[in-house]
Amino acid sequence: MQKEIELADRLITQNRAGHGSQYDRMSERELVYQAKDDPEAFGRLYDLNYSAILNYCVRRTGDIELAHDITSETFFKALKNIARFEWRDVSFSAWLYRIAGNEITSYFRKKSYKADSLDYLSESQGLEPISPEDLEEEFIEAQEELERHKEFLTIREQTGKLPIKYQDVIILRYFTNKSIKDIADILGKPEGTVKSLLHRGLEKLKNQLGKIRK
Amino acid sequence: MKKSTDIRNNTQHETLDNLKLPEIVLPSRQKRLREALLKSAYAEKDKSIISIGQKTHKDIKRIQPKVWLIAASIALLLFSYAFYEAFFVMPQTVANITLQVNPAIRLSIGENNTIVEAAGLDEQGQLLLTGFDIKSLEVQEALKDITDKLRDSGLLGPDHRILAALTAVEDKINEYDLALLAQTVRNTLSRYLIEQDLLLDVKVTTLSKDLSDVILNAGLMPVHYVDLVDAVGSEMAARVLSLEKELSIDPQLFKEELDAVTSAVIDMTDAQISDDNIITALRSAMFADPELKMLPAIIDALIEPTEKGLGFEEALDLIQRALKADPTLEAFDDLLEPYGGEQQYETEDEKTDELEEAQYDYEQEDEQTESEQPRDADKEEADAPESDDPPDSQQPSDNDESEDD
Repeated sequence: MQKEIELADRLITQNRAGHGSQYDRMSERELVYQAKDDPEAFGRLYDLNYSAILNYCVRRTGDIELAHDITSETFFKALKNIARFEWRDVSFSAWLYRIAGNEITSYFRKKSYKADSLDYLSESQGLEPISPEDLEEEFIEAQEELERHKEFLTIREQTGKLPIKYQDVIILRYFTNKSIKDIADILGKPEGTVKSLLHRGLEKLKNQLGKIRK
Repeated sequence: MKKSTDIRNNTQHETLDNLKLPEIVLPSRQKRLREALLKSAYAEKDKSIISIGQKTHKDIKRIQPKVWLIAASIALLLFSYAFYEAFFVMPQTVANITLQVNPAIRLSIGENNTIVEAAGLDEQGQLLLTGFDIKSLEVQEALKDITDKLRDSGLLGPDHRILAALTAVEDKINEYDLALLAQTVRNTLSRYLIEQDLLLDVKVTTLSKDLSDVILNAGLMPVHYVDLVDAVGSEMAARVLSLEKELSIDPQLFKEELDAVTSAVIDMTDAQISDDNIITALRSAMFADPELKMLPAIIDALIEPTEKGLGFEEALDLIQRALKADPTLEAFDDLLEPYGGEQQYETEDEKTDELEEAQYDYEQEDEQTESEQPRDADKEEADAPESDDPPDSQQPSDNDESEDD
């Protein structure tokens, strides 16, 4: 196992040195095509999308640790299935949102979440545990950032009480600034349906916010 | 950021538009996950190279007996767990997929989108699944395996269709998740067909509980009802299919004529006839013609005057009177001529006169049981058949309103 890890480390370093700029110049579509055979291209896709997916999960769940677990699972599933991914239906980033959305829905349904990817990666790929100090520090900073946004937290809490179909559209629209078309692509629904869900969801949210402000 | 005007102009959404969002960063975790993912990807790549033939007996011999012992213990544990899972913890089915090409099969789906059970619903379906284990596979993988097998059996020709109907099992899966599952099925099948360069139509539909019950009772397969559900939705399809039991129509005949019933429903929907009125019309037509031979003619005869401006109830009344006047339905088309067409007013023949007389006699006899609704418009039409003008335009009845709302 140690040998495999060393080999992988070496390959990663070689690839970074040799092709870093090449990946920077590639479009997302080209990267996806390249990533089917080239892990480093997947790494670039990861860099480009990690923050967006993490923040989507945080803003959806309000739980930083859970959001990180879901993000890990999302990228792990994307890596496992990238060879079969076709650009026809949705873009890669929309696909990531879709995977993350499904994971979040699964969490809401079961009221618990287990990121199998993290277990697998720590057991088989030498994913070392973060030192408690780093973990604590990073978490505290993230938690403070989250708590600074009181208005967001109130609205998120009320949004979380809506049926999932409304949460989906409202959060993608207002918490991740996606266009109607992007939301339609992510959810695989017609734009008209998205608009109508958004309209009805906002009405419901407005009512709920009205009640708590009285 | 582009926001649609209707939302931007609405002050109630300003809070959301201007909402300050937290930006979370987890650099250590991000870096660590990246490295692990890439290592995993490289290891997979490496493994695939080794598996081509680099692994030798020498490598195997190097493994020490202690490792074998650990491996054997793990295998035993896994086996025990699998045994326990299989016999003591039955995975719960949350949804069923009925898949039909020519063979028909039912896939029971568990909570993790895996196949809990697969069963052939007809002889061909049973044959397809013989010696073919797709249990515990993810839905996508199972569908790919099934379609592979269908393709190899020559069952994915251009004249075939792939139909899939999804139903929730009790309340174990909500509407939204069932729709997601349907989307997965649709995407998997469509993607497979594109990859294989196969030109087949794929129809995937989700069924409401009411509709599932009706279908189960009537012993219907997707090929019988998918087009109907696709055209009018689950609720309306359930109402249409319930007519079989309600009117005691021979189930086999109903199954065979369901295409005609579907076409009739679609035609009436296209003619802006409301759902309630469609059911009323079908009920009248099927009651008068339980063999369903004249159904298309009866429905056409109903649609024609409504498209010319006659209210639904008046048109239905015409049909009902014609049906009563000619219970054998042998001269049904002729009987309707004076009311239905424009040209026919000028070319009335003797037969029509006779039929009109017959109908008039019938009306006289049946006066007491006639509907209380005014028939002025009908009488005008009957009294003045030579007129070139179409029947008087009437306000559509409430029931004629579109169902768009």
